[in-house]
Amino acid sequence: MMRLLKIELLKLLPAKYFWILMMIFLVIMIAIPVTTSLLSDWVVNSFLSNLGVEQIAVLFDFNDIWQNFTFVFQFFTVLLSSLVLINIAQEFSLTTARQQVIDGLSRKEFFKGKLIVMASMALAVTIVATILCLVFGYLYSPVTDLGIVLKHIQFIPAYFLHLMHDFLFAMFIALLIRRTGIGVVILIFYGWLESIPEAILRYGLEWEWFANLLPNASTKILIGNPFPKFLLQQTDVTLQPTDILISVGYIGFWLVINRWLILKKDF
Amino acid sequence: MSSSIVLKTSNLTKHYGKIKAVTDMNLSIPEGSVFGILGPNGSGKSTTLGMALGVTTPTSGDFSWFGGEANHQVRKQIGAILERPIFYPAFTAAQNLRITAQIKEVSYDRIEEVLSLVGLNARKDSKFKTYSLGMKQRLAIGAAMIADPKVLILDEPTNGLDPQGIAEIRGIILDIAKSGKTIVLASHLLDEVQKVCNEFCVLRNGRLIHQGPVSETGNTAQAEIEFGAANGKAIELAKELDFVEVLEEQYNGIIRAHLSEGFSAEKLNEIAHSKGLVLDHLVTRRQTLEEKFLEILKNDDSLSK
Repeated sequence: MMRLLKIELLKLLPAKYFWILMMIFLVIMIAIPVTTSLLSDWVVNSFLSNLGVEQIAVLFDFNDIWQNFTFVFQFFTVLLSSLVLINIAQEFSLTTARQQVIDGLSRKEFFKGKLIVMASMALAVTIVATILCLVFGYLYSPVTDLGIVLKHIQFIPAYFLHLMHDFLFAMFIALLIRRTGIGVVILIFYGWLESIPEAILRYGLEWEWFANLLPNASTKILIGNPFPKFLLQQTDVTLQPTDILISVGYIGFWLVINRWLILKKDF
Repeated sequence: MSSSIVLKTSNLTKHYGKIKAVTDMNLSIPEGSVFGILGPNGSGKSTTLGMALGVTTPTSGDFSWFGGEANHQVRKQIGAILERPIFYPAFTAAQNLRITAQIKEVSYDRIEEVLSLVGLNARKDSKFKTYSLGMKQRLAIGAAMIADPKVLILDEPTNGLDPQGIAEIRGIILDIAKSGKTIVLASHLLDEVQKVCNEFCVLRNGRLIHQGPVSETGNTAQAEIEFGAANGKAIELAKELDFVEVLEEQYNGIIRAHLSEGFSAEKLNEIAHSKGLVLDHLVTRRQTLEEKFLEILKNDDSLSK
């Protein structure tokens, strides 16, 4: 396993696209809470402080912060999915995958290596998200009792599941298209394309449950939109066990399909 | 050991729908040989090697390496380049070879060694995409040599190179062959196979139609000689002797002829001498691989009729 990780790191670390996409993503990840907090500080200080209001940033309150942050972060997952797609599709467009199999890497090892990359990336990003939640939570949240802090932390493993699902889906497109440019275009357009049948199922036929079964929708509903509840005073949106089941099911499904594509198709 | 087989294929077949890329290929490559796989483009050379190297799934048939099971562990001991040199264009030679070394589980020390073998040490930190075609081919051979393999498989290694590049690659191949490694050289160039190989086979339309040593001259053909003498005396001599069948009188007075059985160039020279004639040109021509190749194709044509 260490050997496979080493091989993949030798392919990733000198690659420009890896650093560019990773840096853009991390900058966005950090910039969002920083700008939001600065903005709310500025609003409070200039307009509301003489009214006795000390903060409006409910966004950073424990225990909502876990859902708020991960919900926003997932809009930028496409940057990381593109990274995964380029990494895998390139191996086929450059035919380096073929040469590596000739050199003595088994197809199974190739598959495992890519899984290790995806899992490590998802884990690293999840850890950064956790740290950001904790830092901004402790800075701004009025409540910091451990029980409250950790109450909705299940959105963190949910975020990991979301990342793994999207990475595996990007891998599927990469294995199918085997071209980086068109692959990324398809990956981005797929989200929009899927919203058509999703809208028909959800609003036209009102088959909500079937709408949630579409791959892109299944990962979107995992971390539900937390913002309506602030406006409409709705009750908490929490993780639904069925949503987790669908997500895990999809991860299993892509694993099987991707493995099959790697083992059976000519390199 | 000299009789052991490196690669053996049994009825190896690959059909892409209606296209029969390779049909019932039974190939055996002996250890220590420099083995040429000869055939025009599209005759199934790369498909056959692709199957043997695990990148193309056979439709049917089997193959074995070193008399054992063929798996990825075995491939680590094979150095192979199919079709063209393949590396990450934006990475340097050293970065690319680190990946190969890691896959083949050999020490990074080998990188310097193979780079000097192919004369690329000075350019090891240049990006692959800045390399000339000849340098790319040399790097590919270097990468194939990194695990000190028992077999080196080269597919069209001189394709697209200039004469100097071709000479460099052939030099490297011959050096490696001297070290006793088995080399498999797939090529559509007869000349290349004749200069480098000692065994060869011919593929056509995905089928094996011949296998044998390169040195084998046709027994069917009579010895063919060329001879010449000053002042056009050669043709006079040829007409006098009934064992000389003139094939062609060349513009420079040199005669190309067949000799009857039992007669040799030596005999001809002796007779010329006794007649006071000095031959200034006398060559016995071995049948070239090109003629052999054409003969094989002709036989195959008549068989398939």
